[in-house]
Amino acid sequence: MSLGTFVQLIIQGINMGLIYALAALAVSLIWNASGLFNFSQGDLLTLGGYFMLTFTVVALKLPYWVGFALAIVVMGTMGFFLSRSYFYPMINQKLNPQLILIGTVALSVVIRNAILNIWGPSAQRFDNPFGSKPILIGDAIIMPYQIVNIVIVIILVVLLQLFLRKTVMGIAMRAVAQKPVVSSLMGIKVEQLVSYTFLLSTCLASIAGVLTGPILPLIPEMGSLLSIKAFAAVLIGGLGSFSGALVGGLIVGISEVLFSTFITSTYKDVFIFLMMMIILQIRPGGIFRIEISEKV
Amino acid sequence: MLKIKDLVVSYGGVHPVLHKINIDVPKGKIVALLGANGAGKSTTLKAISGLVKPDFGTIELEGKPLNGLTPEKIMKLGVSHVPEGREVFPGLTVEENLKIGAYVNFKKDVVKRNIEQIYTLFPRLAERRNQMAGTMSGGEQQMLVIGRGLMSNPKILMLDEPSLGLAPIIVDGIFDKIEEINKNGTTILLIEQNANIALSVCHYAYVLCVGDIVLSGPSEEITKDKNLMNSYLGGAKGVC
Ligand SMILES: Nc1ncnc2c1ncn2[C@@H]1O[C@H](COP(=O)(O)OP(=O)(O)OP(=O)(O)O)[C@@H](O)[C@H]1O
Ligand SMILES: [Mg+2]
Repeated sequence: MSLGTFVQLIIQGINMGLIYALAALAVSLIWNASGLFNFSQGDLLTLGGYFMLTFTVVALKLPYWVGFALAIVVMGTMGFFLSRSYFYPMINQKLNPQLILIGTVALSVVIRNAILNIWGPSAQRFDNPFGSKPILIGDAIIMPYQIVNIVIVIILVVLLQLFLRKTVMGIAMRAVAQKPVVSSLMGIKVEQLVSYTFLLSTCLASIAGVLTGPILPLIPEMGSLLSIKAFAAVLIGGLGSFSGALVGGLIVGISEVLFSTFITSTYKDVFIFLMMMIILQIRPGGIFRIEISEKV
Repeated sequence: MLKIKDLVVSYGGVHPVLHKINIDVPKGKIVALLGANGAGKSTTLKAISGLVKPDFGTIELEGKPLNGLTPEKIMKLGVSHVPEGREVFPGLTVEENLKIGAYVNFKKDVVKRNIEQIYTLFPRLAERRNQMAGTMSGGEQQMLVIGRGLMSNPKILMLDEPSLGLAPIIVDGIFDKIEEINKNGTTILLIEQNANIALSVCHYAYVLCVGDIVLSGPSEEITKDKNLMNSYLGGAKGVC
C-alpha cells in the first residue's frame, strides 16, 4: 500500500467520522441541557437528508446552497416545536428518564415510518455542485466534496464554540445545562433555552444529513446504523463533552475505514462496538470524561 | 419596599412550613431574618422569588403584587435572590457567571460597567476573572454569587446564609462588603443563623421559629434581648 492510498483512506475515514461527530455533538448538547438521551438523532439526520432531496431534486429544484439553508431552517423550526410540544412536557413533569428515553425511541420509529410513507423505500440521491472530478494529490484520489465537507464542519465547530462562549444566549445555555433552578433565578426562561438547544441539535442533524448525501444513498432506515455509530462515538469520547464528540466521531470513522480495508469489512461494526466496550472498561465515562467544569 | 403579609407556604399541601408571617423591608435598609435550621427562612425567600407558590397571603414590591409571577418576571421587577450554598455555575468562568447575572437586561455597556464595579468591590474576583467558578475557594464563590446577584441592578438583594461554612475572618470580610453594598443604595434582605454577625450589620431583624415570627424590631432592641433570642435560635424543644 502506498502512502497516497493511505492518505486517501484517512480522508475517507475523517469524512464519515465528521458525520458521526455532528450527530454525537447534537446528542451531547441535548444531554447537557435536559438530561435526555435522544435516540431519534439518527432519524432526524436522515429526515434532514430527505428534506434536501425534496428541495433540490423532487419538488422545488432549488440550487444546492438554497436547499441546504432551507433544510436547516425547516429542521430547526421542527426541533423547536418538538421540544415545546413533546420533550419539554415530559421533562417538566419529572417523568422518569428511562420513560423519556422510550419516548425518544418512539419518535425515532415515527420519523422512520413517516419517511418510508412519504419518500418510499428505494435508495435516492441528490447531487452536489462540487463536481465528480477527483483531485490527485500524489497518488491519493480525493473527491471535491470530501474537502468541502471537512471545511464546512470546521467552520461549524468554530462558530458553535464562539456561540457557546461569547454570546449571552450561549452562556445561558451552558448555565441551564449546569443548574436549571439557579438559572431560573437569573431570569433565564429554562423552557425556552431547552427549546433553543433542541433547535440547535436538529439544525446539526440537518447539516449532517446533507453532508451525508455524497457518501451514502438515502434510505429510510439509514438513521439506525448512523445513530448506533454516533452513540458509540458519544460513549468513546465522553457523554456531554464537546471535544469528546469530535474525537469520538473521528476515531469511529477512521478506524472503521482502516479495519474494513486491512482486515475485513464484514466485521467492521463488530469491531467498533468491541472497541467501545474496551474503552468503557479502561476509562468509563469516555476519553474526555466530563468533570462538571468542562461540560459544554 | 418589600411587604409580606400573612404568608403561608406548604410543600405538597401538607403541614404548612410558614404560618401567616409578616415581614416589612423598608427601602435602603438591611433587614435580617434569623432562625435555626428548618425554621423556614429559605422557604420565605423561595416564596418571594417565585420558586414556591404561597398557599395564602400577599407579597408586594413597592405596592405591586409578586404572587403568582414566574421567577423570571420577579427577577425583572428588581428582586435578586442569592440562594444558600454558594450556587455558582461551576463550568462557567467568573466573568461568565457575572454576565449571566445580568441576563434579564443585557446591555453591553451597562454590563461592562457593572462588572468593573463588582471587581472594585471584590478585587479577588478581578484576579480570577477567567478561572472556572467551580475551582474557586468557598469564600471566593460567596463573593461571586453576591456579585452575580448585583449584576441586574436589583432594587432588593436577598442573601441566604452568606456566612455558611466560611471561616470567621472571611465572614467578616463578606459582611463588610454587604454593608458597603447597602450604603451604595441597595436594599438587603439577609438570612442568617449567625445572629451576632447579622445583628452587627442590619437595621431591623425578625426571628423565625418553626414557621412563626416570634421576635422582631430594630437590631439594637433585639440585641438587648439576647437571651430570649438565643433560646429561639438554639432550637430548644418547646420554646416556640
Ligand atoms: N422541597 C421541600 N419539600 C418538602 N419539605 C421541604 C422542602 N424544602 C424545605 N422543606 C421543609 O420546610 C421546612 C423549612 O425549610 P427551610 O429550608 O425553609 O429552612 P431554613 O430555615 O432555611 O433552614 P436552614 O437554616 O437549615 O437552611 C423544613 O422542615 C424542611 O424540611
Ligand atoms: Mg435555608
